[in-house]
Amino acid sequence: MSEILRIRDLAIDFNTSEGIVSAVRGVDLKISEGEVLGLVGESGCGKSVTSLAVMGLLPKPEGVLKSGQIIFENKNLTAFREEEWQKIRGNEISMIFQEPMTALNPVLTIGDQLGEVLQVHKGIRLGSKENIDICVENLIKVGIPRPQQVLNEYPHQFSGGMRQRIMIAMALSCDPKLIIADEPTTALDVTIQAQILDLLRELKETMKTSILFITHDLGVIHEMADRVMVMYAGKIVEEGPTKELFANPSHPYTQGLMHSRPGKVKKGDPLYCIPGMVPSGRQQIIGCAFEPRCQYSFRPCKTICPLLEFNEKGHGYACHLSKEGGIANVGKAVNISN
Amino acid sequence: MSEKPLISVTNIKTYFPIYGGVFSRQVGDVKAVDGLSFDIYEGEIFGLVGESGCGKSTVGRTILRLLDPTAGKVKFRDDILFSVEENERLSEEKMRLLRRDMQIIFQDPFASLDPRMNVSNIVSEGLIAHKLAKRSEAVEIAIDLLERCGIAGENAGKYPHEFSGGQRQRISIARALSFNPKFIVCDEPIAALDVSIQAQILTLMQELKEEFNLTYLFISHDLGVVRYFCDRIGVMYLGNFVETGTSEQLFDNPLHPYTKALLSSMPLLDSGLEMERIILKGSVPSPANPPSGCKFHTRCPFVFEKCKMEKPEMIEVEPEHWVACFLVENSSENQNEG
Repeated sequence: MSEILRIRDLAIDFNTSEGIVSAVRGVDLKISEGEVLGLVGESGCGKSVTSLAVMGLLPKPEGVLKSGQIIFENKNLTAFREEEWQKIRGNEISMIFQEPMTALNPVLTIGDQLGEVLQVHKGIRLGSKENIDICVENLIKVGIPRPQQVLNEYPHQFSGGMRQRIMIAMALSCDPKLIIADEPTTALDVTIQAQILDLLRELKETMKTSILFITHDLGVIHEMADRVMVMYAGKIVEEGPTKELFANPSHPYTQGLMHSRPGKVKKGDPLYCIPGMVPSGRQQIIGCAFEPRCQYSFRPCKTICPLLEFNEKGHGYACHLSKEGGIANVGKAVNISN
Repeated sequence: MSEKPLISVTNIKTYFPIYGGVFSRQVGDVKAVDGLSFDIYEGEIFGLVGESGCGKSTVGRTILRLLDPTAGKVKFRDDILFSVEENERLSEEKMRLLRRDMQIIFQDPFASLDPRMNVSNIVSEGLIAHKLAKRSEAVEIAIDLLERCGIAGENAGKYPHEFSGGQRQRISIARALSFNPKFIVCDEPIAALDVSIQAQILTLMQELKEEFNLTYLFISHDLGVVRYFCDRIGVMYLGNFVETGTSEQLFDNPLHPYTKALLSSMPLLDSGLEMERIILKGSVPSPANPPSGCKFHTRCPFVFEKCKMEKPEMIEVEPEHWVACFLVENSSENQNEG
């Protein structure tokens, strides 16, 4: 599989009134053709900022690209000017946002919003028969009934799940090579979430699009992604093929996340809690960002930042303990102490 | 768990009027809660689950008399809070006293704390308003409670914006505890929090329940959390229960098609259930104009003629396990005959 997107050492700062916030602190990432890469982490870990950088949508002037390269099909996007971005955005890379309620323009019809993408990128005039035909075809692809009428309707006439389908239809308009889905199901109910995930899986099979899937929900990532990256405080702490990573979560943070989910914990058994909180981006982090919350913290953790080290299965984690042969499963440790 | 219900809810209905037309006449009702009966026993955690708009929050607020009921009766121990049919209503004076025993924790800790009060004042306000303590004593009690909920005493002078979401939820809990209540309505208390913080808050709530001998009505859309946390669960759809039972009964042996669909839409990682995924078509109909007969018939994969005409009653299939579905009725009848 050929590589479609590669990010090297991406670092992004935000200049705020209260000082510099380091949102992303050196992220390396690659996505191959047809692959679904899951990026998972808690709020404020930098996952959305990473995706905005790939779309060239960092808020300016406060968002500063401090270092790094974003290479999409051998083009370095970080050197792009706004006009060049516009040719890529919505065309070769498109995005599905979290809030289908706010991502659509309330005063334009669905047809105008879907058709505009085609007019801008493909030069197919809005309102022309070809334009309408493609829009209808895309709406059928995402499972919207009576597509002809839908084109003349407005976003408020649709439920959250339907709006998200429309967003997906819009993202598909120009047959993008990469879709960035930023928490596409977070605002939806479980039954609707299941519908949308099902749709995305189906589209991925038929269209062979690569997807960068961003979420805080491990359950969703487990179902969608081929490969998973776990992000904490602006860095990737663990990465691996989905099955492997879920079978052997190795970073103390990943383990903590998995065990703090009540899903499979027996009723009455204690839940595992990661103590403390996510560090704010304002703090200078020298060693391992997870150190203050980590039960295994030892001397080097405070001063030296651990690097991702991969095994032969392509599974890697950034923890000083990997050299000591890794750690026992946190969950097991909890059970013993109880 | 004692045998005496702490809260006894009989056939409550809460409708919100819809006004329309030139003279803003009432043109209809949003039937948010449409006939619900259940008991909550002392020391129990009763869970309400359902998708957005099914009326679960309205139930919580109606019980606390924060909303005006359209019909039904709610009893708290021996006091009838209201009974629309018997035209009874506890006087405001007595209700005010009872409110000390009944508290609520809201979903959004960013909206439920007054930004202009420091946290010790937030927690002690109620005690002072009810003249249960002098200001200095009340602040002392508040600091004790905050510490019990994991907020260090020296932070008691800080304002809500200085805390993270998880900490604010701890403050909300401390406030709810200030009267030493018997019963707390928890309206999605962890939905706005990150996974690792959710586990912390759930654990805290569990500990407090034991320590203060509390009873919870726990409202949530997260099935994994409800399974772990609640003793008994009611599954709601469009203002009605479709199934109620103990946590084990519902998760090991779901009988209503909606419950089955809900459970099967959970990501596998959460449920650990190897069940065939039922993907429901469409979205929840509007509660202003609910479908006839069984309200779920428009989305039910097993629908037949009778469902469209008649409304199924709740029947008890095993102790504590109630279902409203004709399919279940049929199969139990068949069993009896056989």
